[in-house]
Amino acid sequence: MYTASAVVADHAARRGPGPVLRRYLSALPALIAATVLGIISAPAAAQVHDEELMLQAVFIGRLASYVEGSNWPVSTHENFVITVLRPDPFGELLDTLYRDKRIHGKPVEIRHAASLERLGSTDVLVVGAGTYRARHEAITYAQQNGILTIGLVPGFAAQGGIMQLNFVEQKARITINHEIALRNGLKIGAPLLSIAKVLRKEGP
Amino acid sequence: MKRSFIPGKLCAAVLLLLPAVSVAISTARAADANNPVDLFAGDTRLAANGYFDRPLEELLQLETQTKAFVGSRAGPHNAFDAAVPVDVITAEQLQSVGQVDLPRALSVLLPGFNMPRPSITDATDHAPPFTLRGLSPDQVLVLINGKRLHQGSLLHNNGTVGRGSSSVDLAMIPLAAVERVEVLRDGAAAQYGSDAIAGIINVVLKGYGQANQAYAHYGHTRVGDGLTRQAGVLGALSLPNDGYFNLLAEVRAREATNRAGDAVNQFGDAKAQNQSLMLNAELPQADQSLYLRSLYNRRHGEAAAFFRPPGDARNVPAIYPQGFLPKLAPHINDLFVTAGGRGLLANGVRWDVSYTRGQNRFHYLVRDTLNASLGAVSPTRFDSGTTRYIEDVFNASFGQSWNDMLITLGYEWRQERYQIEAGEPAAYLLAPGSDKAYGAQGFPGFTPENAVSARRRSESLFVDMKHELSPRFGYDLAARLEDSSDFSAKLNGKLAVRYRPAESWLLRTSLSSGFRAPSLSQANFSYTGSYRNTTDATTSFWGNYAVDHPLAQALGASALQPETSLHYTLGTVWQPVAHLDASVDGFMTEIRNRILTTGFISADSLTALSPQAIAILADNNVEGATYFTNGINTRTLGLDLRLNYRHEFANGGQLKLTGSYQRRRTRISGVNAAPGVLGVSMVDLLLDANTRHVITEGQPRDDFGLWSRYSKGRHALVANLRRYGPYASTNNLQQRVSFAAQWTLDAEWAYAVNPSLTLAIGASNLTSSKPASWGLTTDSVFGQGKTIPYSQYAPLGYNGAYYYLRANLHF
Repeated sequence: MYTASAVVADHAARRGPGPVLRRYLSALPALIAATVLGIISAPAAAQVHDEELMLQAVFIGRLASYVEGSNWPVSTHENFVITVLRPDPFGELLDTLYRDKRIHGKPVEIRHAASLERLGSTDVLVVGAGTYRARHEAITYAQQNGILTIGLVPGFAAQGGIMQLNFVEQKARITINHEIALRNGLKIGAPLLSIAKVLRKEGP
Repeated sequence: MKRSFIPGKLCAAVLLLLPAVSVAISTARAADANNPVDLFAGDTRLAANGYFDRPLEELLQLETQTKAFVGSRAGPHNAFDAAVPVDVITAEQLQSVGQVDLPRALSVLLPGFNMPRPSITDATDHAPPFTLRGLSPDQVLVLINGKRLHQGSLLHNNGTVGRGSSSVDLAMIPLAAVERVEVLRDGAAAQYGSDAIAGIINVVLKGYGQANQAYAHYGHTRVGDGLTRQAGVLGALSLPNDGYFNLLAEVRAREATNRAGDAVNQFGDAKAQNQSLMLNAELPQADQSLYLRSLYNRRHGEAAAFFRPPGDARNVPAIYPQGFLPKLAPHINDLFVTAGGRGLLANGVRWDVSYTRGQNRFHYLVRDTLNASLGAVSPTRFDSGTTRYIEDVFNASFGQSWNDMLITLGYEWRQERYQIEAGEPAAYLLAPGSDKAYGAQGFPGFTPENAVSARRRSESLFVDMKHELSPRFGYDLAARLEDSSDFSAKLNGKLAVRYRPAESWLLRTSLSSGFRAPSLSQANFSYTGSYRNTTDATTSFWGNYAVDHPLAQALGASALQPETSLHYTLGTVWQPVAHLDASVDGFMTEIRNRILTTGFISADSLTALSPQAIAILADNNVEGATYFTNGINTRTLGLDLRLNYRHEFANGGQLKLTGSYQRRRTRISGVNAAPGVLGVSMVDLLLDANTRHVITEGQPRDDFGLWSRYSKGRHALVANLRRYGPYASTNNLQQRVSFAAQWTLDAEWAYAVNPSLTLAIGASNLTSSKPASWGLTTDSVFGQGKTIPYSQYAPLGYNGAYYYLRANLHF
């Protein structure tokens, strides 16, 4: 129950609560219509405007280019194969970016794998978020098969992954588990080692 | 005369931002002339391609766009993905504007964040309140890494912004401990609970990946006062599995400033000495991690009350033959601790369980003063009592994803306690038979009758859902049911929708309800004084009475009810090129049952006061009383413009630019009925001219800010241009006085001596801009050349220019 007053009457006379709310809400139908239209016309996937993701995508290939090994990249591959294990944050970004790129002199092929069982032969395995166990299994598989692993979450290198890429205050940080790399027969280029945090302690 | 809501100032802001947008787009196009940018199709691939050929060292120096956690439980999101508007202020920005405490840094960086520098306002001098969107200080929820930060126990009961409210003291957080500040510009009580009406400030402490740091700051105002010294060290220890243990210790001391127009008073910043600690640690183990975050701050302040001349009735010439200037020198302690765990279960459920304690202790100490009623034997230092606020929060949330949908369920238990402890007797006594002034001059003590220990418990259940229906369309839904020991259960909800018509264009809207529980200080605060005239046989009293006090109840006070709110936002974000985003958001906030303190209920102040009320006062020997009540409804309409831009020049230089503008207008849209026993209307009871102007015009009508940083090699230049819009206040005669907008410019030059050491020299308010004065008046206190030459509501303070040096060492 509200009592009218001189002050209120003055403002209410100028602009009552109903009309104002209605004015704002009047924009809703247009927005809803546009929304429905958008859902209907939405393409299968839209690019994201995420610079962090863009940089991650770039780093994957750039980091791989500083790695060498007697059996790496796999010589029987016609292409340089980068496989992203689900959950895959990149969508079509990697495919788009590496369409015209070459790593170690080979065209780049991007694969997306739902599980290790569907991984197949690859040169690089990109591991995003997911459970510790899933990462552990991926790292173990990669170590057994001489695959370069690149993880996108903190703790990945300490867990036994070879390269870790994450962001601190909007800047990329690279961590390299050099011991694991050497054990896998992978040699990391000095320029990369000089700018990365290098772990000397072995993982699992 | 009716004012247009889109006036010239808004157009001016747009005109100032447009060239920046134009330059940004032009330079981006020039940088990639062979690949013209489609302003609506976006350029993700082009940007990524641009990165690909750069040296690794350069890639590591590239800065990505800021991301925020607040507003969504689905992890960090950038401006272009946010369904509701969020600002992110980086540590670099915070440290570049010459301020040594967090609220002052935000007040010069964030339009819509208003923090005047009140003086001679008792305890408020030592912990000034701040506001968002021109609303009340207690209508802002502050979080530390997502966990609720406690309010202060101080109730601002003088003529300042936020009169009648308790606020969070952001100055308890060392600026160097902050990684970023996320400001959610929308109501979010359905997600976070009480208080999130004007918005949420989420302070993220420095965590993973920090280096050891030491820093120092030295500065003073143009006239030589306000000497400020600050030094601190951050130790960052790496724990296994990329865990961290960061410990920061800081001391900062600021001398008082004085801009009083006369020679005997002090009007300016309070003297303050702070010692702060910050601990932030996280220990991951597989998919789970334990975390511990803590802040501690101890502040000793000192600020003056009004000068008591030698012949003043409040003086005892035998003690102060030349008169005296009483000083309130409180000791303020704050502690915040949150400990918890979080992780990911094998079934994909994300969990977070935490316990948080926050407490504030405000110890009122008065010195260089006396109790006139005690005569020549009066002490000159007093303990005027203590207020405390303690908050305990247990929070548990569990989230599960299904395809493109994330649902989070949670529970929160919260207990608040508020205490007032009486001061020493000499601090509040009126000596028997004396007709002199009672208590400690400057700040008489809390009496045993004022002492209180109050408690409230509340429990909440909440659900939060984020659903991406398609790459173009998504929505967030939230609901929260909160039950309290003090009032009936409240159910609030929120719907936020985002739609992307084109790759570089986002439309967003949200509708939500919210509430703010009455603070325990509002419900339980009482502060009473006494006097005795020479002809009086008995002592008379006056003051603020708690709503459950028999006198307040007899005068119509009733239990305070929560303020309730309705929020609506509609906006758009445009990201035409990489490194550039611009947004426009309109907002409306309607608040019902806002809690205010009544005017002074006395026969002298309210001429229409009923005989019954006059009799109640007389029967209790009370000259006059105030209490808190749910009084009015308000409606706030506003508009936010934002621009963020970064550009890298071919010569290696880098430019960052953040432009922002906010305009808002608050109007009183309804007034509740006054208690019948008083016989007066609520307008007469609550809304004197000053209160009405404070609510509707006491804060700047609009704000504009343009922060820019250009760096190349070892050098970095920062310029922060700020415009504080016009506001109005009332003088002692209750006459409206309007104050014009003011521009300020902060500037800093930083030089990296080597990769570890950076030195900087700068000026805050380089042009020494000051607010317009009250002008020539006949008043004895307010006016040019008087004790208070400037309005207490001036948003930029009144110190003028401040010059400083700072050094940062990473090791």
